[in-house]
This record gives sequence, C-alpha cells and structure tokens, in this order.
Amino acid sequence: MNLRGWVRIAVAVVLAVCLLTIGLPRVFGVSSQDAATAIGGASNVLQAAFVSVADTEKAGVNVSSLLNGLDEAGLALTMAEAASNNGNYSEAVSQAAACETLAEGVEKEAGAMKSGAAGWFSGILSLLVIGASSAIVFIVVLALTWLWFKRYYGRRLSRSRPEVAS
Amino acid sequence: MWSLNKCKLVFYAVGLIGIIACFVPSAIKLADLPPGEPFSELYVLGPGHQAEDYPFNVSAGDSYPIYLGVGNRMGSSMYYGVDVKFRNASEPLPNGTAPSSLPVLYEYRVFLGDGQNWTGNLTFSFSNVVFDGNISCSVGKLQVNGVEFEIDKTVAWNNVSDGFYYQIVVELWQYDQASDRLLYDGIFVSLWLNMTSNA
Repeated sequence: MNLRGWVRIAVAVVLAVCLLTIGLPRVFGVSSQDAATAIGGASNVLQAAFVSVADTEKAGVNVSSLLNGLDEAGLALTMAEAASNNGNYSEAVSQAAACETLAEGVEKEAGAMKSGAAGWFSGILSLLVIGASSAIVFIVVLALTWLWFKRYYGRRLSRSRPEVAS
Repeated sequence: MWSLNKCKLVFYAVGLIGIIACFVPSAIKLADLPPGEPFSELYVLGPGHQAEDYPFNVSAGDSYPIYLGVGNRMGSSMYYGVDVKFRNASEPLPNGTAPSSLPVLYEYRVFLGDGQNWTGNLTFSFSNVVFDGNISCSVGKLQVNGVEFEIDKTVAWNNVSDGFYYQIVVELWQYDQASDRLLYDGIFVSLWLNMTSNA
C-alpha cells in the first residue's frame, strides 16, 4: 500500500474515533453533563419564580394557586435529579425542561397578578370606606333605637303611679 | 328605674364602642403589626401518619414507609429544601449551625404559604447487605422512593446497644433571597436503624 492509502486509512480511523466519542452520544443519547446543566438551569428558573411569587405576595395578593404551581415544578425537578442519579439522562433533561416550563408559567402569572393587584394605599382606603359605611349604618340604627327607647321610657313613666316612701 | 340621662350615657358609650370597632381593621392594617416569633417545623411520622411505629429493626429486601412534614410559621410564603442523607455511626451529623457534609441522596422541594403544612412520603429499602458474622455489616445500596443509590457503608457491631446502627438524617433548608440559594435552617431530624439479617 502506498503512502496515500495509509493517509486515507488514518483519516478514516480519526473520523471514526471522533464520531464514536463526540457524535454518537449526541445522536443516540444525552450525557450526564447535559443532564447536570439542565437541572442547574431548571433550579435557577424555579428560584426566580419563587422570588416573583414572594414579591406578588408582598403586594397583598393571595398566592396559594401560584404555590401549587411551584410545588409541581419542584416535583419535576426532584424527578429530574432522581432520573439523573439512575443514569437516565434523557429523562432527566425532559423533567428539567418540564420544571422550567412550569416555573416560567408561574413567574408570568405572578407578574400579571402583581400588576393587577390593588396597592397598599388602596387596600387601606377600601378598609376605611367599609369601616365608615359600617359606622354610619350603626349610628343610624342606634339613633332610631334611642328615639324608640325615649318614647317607650316616657310612656312607662306616665303610666307609673307616684308612691310615697314611708 | 334609671333616669333618662343615665340611659343616654349608656347609648353614647355603646355608640362610641361601635364606631371604634368599625375602624379596628383599618387601624391594624395601618399599624402593620408584626407577626409573632417566626419559625419553621420539620418532623417525621411513622407509617400510620402518627408519631409512633417508626421502623427500627430493618433488613434487606423490605420496604419501610415513613412521612416527613414541614410547617411554615414564618409570616410569609417560603421555599424549603428537605434533604435526605444516610450515615453510619462514625460519619458527621448536622448540628444547629452546620449541615452534615454527607451527600444529599434525595431532595424534596416544598413551597408553603404562611401557616401551611406539607407531608411527603419517604419509602426506603436496602439491598446488597453483607454481614461479617457479629463483627461488621456493609450496606451496598439504598433505595429512596424508588431511586437507587450506591452507598457502600460499613459499620462495626455496637457492643453497647447490640446492633449494627445506621441513621437516616433529614435536614431542612430554606431559600435565602439575599444569597439566591437554599441555606441550612439549623433544623434536622433523624431515625436510628438497626440492620438485621433476614435469614
């Protein structure tokens, strides 16, 4: 075999080695590194979503539905870690992606709920309005009761007979 | 019989109390009263969701379900990490300030509103358990909620308590917004297990 033939064989061997070490895992599977990266990314998105939910709660919004969504996302992340630990890296990446999708949805919803929420001042204002309305109704009822009581008291006083203390 | 003036005074007093009561909610909101002492809870329950019948004598091949619980009394929503670890008697335990340096086997992520509680199932089993007479015991694998972990932990016979003792340790972590990560809360629970032969 001449030199050209040997070069061809060498190139073919190098290409085959490259394909086996780099190409095949990418085509037929997912590496542990990919799974770790996906899990790390999902964890960051989950934390960001929680921060968003906490901010929304501070604005006075009931966030229980958002917390349920975060729980689902957290469960997906736990499943991703479990799959990665078992060597099922494609499942790990898939669960991490599910976690990210859920967490991003929660973050978006939290933002919308926060912008639609009544602020602290309007919360105080509505409480004051409710308090003032209740106070007016109470005073009117009390005044009517007083008028009725005054008449009842007068009637009772005119009916009573004077007695002389011995 | 009371005089009309006395009755008038009673009506005035009732009116004043009623008006004050109407404005109490807005006054509370304005004052923004602080909540009580904030704290978190971590607990472990037996298979019947009660603080009893905890597994103690365990052996390879059997499954042991227990329940973990977390309570949030922090005054706002919290993000908790519940980390499960496994140790032999010579490995480090967590304390009130530092977590155990052992690797996390399984992590629950729990999101709780103020005043809420969470309960999660933790089922574990062992395999590849080898006894060297009454000298030592080696546990090869631990399964937690169906996920298998290679642990390879060996423990010597405990002459004082007569057994091969291992411990499941559960630590509570909580998300810290300032450092943007979960930090150890200083709270942990543990369960002693005596590995026995099922022969």
